Amino acid sequence: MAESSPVLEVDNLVKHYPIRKGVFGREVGRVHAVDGVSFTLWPGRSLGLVGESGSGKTTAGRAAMRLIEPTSGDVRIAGEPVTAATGRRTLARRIAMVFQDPMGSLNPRLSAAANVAEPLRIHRIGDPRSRRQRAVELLEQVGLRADLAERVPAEFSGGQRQRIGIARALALSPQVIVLDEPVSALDVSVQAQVLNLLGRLQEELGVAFLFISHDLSVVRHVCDQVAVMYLGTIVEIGSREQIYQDPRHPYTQALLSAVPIPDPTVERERIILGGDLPNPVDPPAGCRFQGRCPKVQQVCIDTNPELVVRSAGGQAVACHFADDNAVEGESR
Amino acid sequence: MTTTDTAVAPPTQPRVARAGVVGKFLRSTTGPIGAGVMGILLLVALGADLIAPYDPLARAGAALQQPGGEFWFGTDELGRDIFSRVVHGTRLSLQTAVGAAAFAGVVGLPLGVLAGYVGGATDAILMRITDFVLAVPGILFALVVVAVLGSGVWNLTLAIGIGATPTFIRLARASTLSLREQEYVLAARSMGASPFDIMARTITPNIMGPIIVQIIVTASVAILVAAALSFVGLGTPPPAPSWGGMLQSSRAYLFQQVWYAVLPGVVLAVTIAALDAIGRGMQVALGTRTAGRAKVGGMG
Amino acid sequence: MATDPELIFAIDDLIVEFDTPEGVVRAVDGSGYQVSPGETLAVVGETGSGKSVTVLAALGLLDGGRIVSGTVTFDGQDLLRMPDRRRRRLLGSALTMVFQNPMSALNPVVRIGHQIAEVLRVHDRSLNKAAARRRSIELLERVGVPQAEIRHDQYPHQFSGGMLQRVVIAMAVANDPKVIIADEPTTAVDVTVQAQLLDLLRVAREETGAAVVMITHDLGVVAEVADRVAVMYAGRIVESGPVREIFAEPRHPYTVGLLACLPRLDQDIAELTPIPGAPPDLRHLPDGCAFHPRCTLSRGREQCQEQRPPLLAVAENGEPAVASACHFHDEVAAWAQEGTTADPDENGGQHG
Repeated sequence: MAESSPVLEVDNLVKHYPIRKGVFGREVGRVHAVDGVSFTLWPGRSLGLVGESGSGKTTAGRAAMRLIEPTSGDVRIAGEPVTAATGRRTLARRIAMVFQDPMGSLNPRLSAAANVAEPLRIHRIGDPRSRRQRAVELLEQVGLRADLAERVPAEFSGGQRQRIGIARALALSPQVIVLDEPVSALDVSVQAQVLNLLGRLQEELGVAFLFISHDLSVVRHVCDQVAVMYLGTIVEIGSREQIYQDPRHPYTQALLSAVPIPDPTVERERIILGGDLPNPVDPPAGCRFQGRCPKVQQVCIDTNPELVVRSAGGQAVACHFADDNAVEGESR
Repeated sequence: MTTTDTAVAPPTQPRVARAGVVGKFLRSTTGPIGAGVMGILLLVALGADLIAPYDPLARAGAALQQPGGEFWFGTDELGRDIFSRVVHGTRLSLQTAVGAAAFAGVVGLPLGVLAGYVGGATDAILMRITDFVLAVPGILFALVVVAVLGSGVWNLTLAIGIGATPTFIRLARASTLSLREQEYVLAARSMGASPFDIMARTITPNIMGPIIVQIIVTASVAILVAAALSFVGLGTPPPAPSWGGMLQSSRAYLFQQVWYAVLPGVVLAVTIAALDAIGRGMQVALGTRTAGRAKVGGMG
Repeated sequence: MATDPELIFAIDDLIVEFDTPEGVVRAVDGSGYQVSPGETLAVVGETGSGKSVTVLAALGLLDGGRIVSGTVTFDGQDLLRMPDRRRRRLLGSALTMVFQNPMSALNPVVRIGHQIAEVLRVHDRSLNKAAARRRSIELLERVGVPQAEIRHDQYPHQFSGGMLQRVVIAMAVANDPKVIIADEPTTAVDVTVQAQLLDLLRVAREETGAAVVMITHDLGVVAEVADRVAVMYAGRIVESGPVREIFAEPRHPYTVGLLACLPRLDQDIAELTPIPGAPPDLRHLPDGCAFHPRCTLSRGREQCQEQRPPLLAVAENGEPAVASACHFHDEVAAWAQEGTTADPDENGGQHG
């Protein structure tokens, strides 16, 4: 696999939803769900898209695979531009998706094998017999025995259902899999099984993951690259080491400090942010984080900081004071 | 088998889901009774020629005879065997019921799914049409259609079928709308499935539950409406042995031959009750009507 | 032990059953714990562990289930055997709850301030309108609701989830409670809001001196807020003790497994060590120890399959002691050391 060329490039992706009111559907505002998001995904690697609810991470993931039509922005898969004309069929062979709710994302009327074979049927690959055989192979690949293949989703546990969802995503041998909160509906003891499975599959198949999650501990475990989203934009992006050990954006710092660590002996300084995530309808002109930022200055209210590369390692931060924000001692 | 990780655990749920609906239907209180009665009625309809001892249309003996060994439920004013006429009437009634329900289902289901999934102008136009049809009472609507097309079994069936279609469109549309938000529909889109594929293979099978219940309801409405129209002389024209027609002509002879009215009336009532029982059983089986409480929810 | 004056709230040997179409399900099977004033106890467990059912049953709030046996003592009184009216008066004043979904505690069509005033009146019936308003606004300010004067007159739908949870906490502390029970209070909110709420609960406990029972699935939250922890599995407490000791040296294989399978924010872990199998199906619980099918320490030992291990104190040095419900608790430490990675039994999750 050529490490040199990216498998997914997303450039300045925007998704706005107009808010209409009244009889004539006059536009009274716009939800800036995703507002200029760019990232690059490399073969066999994982990029984590983290953020809280309303950060736009799910919308960004879906717009990147054109499951929803972006307002603007360019997407290239393996160098080829993807446009509205490309069509979902062509796209589906290169980029697949795993959903959060393993029960809700499987067709309840189809057996495990039939669910996994759906993409093959839709793309008219093979005959029913060979499709079934391939589905059983895929199920075994994700750790489900062949004798369970004929059972319907309701007969499986949550973790097993998510395995079926993963097997289905693998069916067309995609280059990229978008995983939207794939383990957040699972119990912790089962979550580890699925995370290990994902790691093993990536090693074996060289598939790239766009891993969307609110769980920073999980993202640290899975991803090589991490993008932190706030209110529709990426505020910081970098390697795992950069983001977790040397976060430069005040939001990233606060987010990391807010995650409870399952170790009572760890003493940390906690940054407690005021307020909630603001409404993504017509966000403020300046920095989007201004309302909650503990370090806010006049310049933050006046101008929106660009996402600029701040270090040799390629860590980019959207903060006017990114260079001053190096954590007091890189102690974590 | 290249599996290295460990969790090849068997499912934690017992295998109830697949055989579930049929099993629950059979375990419901009313379902099996209704199904049994309908089964018998269906056999009667199919084997009418074998079961009926006399030709339903021909004179078999003296007029208005009382029940006896020769004529089990007596004869009508034209000397025809009442039992034979009711048996053949079963065939007529079920024909209308099946025909009307099938028409409404076959036309209404795809239109409703289309309206729900595609939305926009298609949806708006279909909804205005259904609004219009639904605004007119069903029986009045059937009356108009029969008046235009002329009477006859199939015209009657068509009239009732058309009148019942908007309900199917509404139901299919509403079910589709709620399903559209399901992640497995989004998943199908992410796999590159065409809209037609999604409507036909993903949505339709998953909304069949309420549709089947509606088909049962429609069948029973069709039988009632057909009987009512025949009663007022707008349904199946005589001498066809329709239940409604028999009830109408029996009125003049209530005191001479009570069975003339009672037999078709009872059979009609039993048929409707049986269909209702099936409908209730289906609802229990599908979980849209709960038989009791006690669901292990919110544990942990 | 329920008579110990030090214990403000104690659940003993509670058994709760549900009738389901597939037979009787025992959701809570002899569970119990105690808290002292000023102490925070975390009750941690996965889906179906019975952690919520236990407390709902103890407070008489259970819908559909049946308490088979057990005692619940609050401030020296038997909660299960007192008249409904008296219990209802205790709830919401001396014994308060914070649920996962704040809307379940609030009336959507009544102004926020009104709802707080209602709670205040339970305690002090003579409270007049102006005084109630003043105290409600005071409370809103205390829990960090900005512009409390304006917020006071708004309806729940005008609040965000995090703000509503603050309001619920305000109501929970309004009457100087002796016990606050929080059932997954931060599960539905984002992590930055969670940090605010946990901090708020800590302050509330310090100010009121109440005992806090925190029900959660998140071991991070446990480590963050609790003094003691009780780990539940399949309707029973399998391990309990001081947080630091349990996290440092767990004495039950399930606790070991839970801690080992977590991805960490502060550490790189090459490969996680999952617990094999799935959380138990209460309709088909195995004989003996409910955890044995998933347990790599048991490895099919007969005792685990046949005898249900009681919850017994295992470490005398600690005060209060660590208790574990494992036949082989003395082997746990060594087994955890050598690594639980030794590949578990093929049929690891077989239970029904």
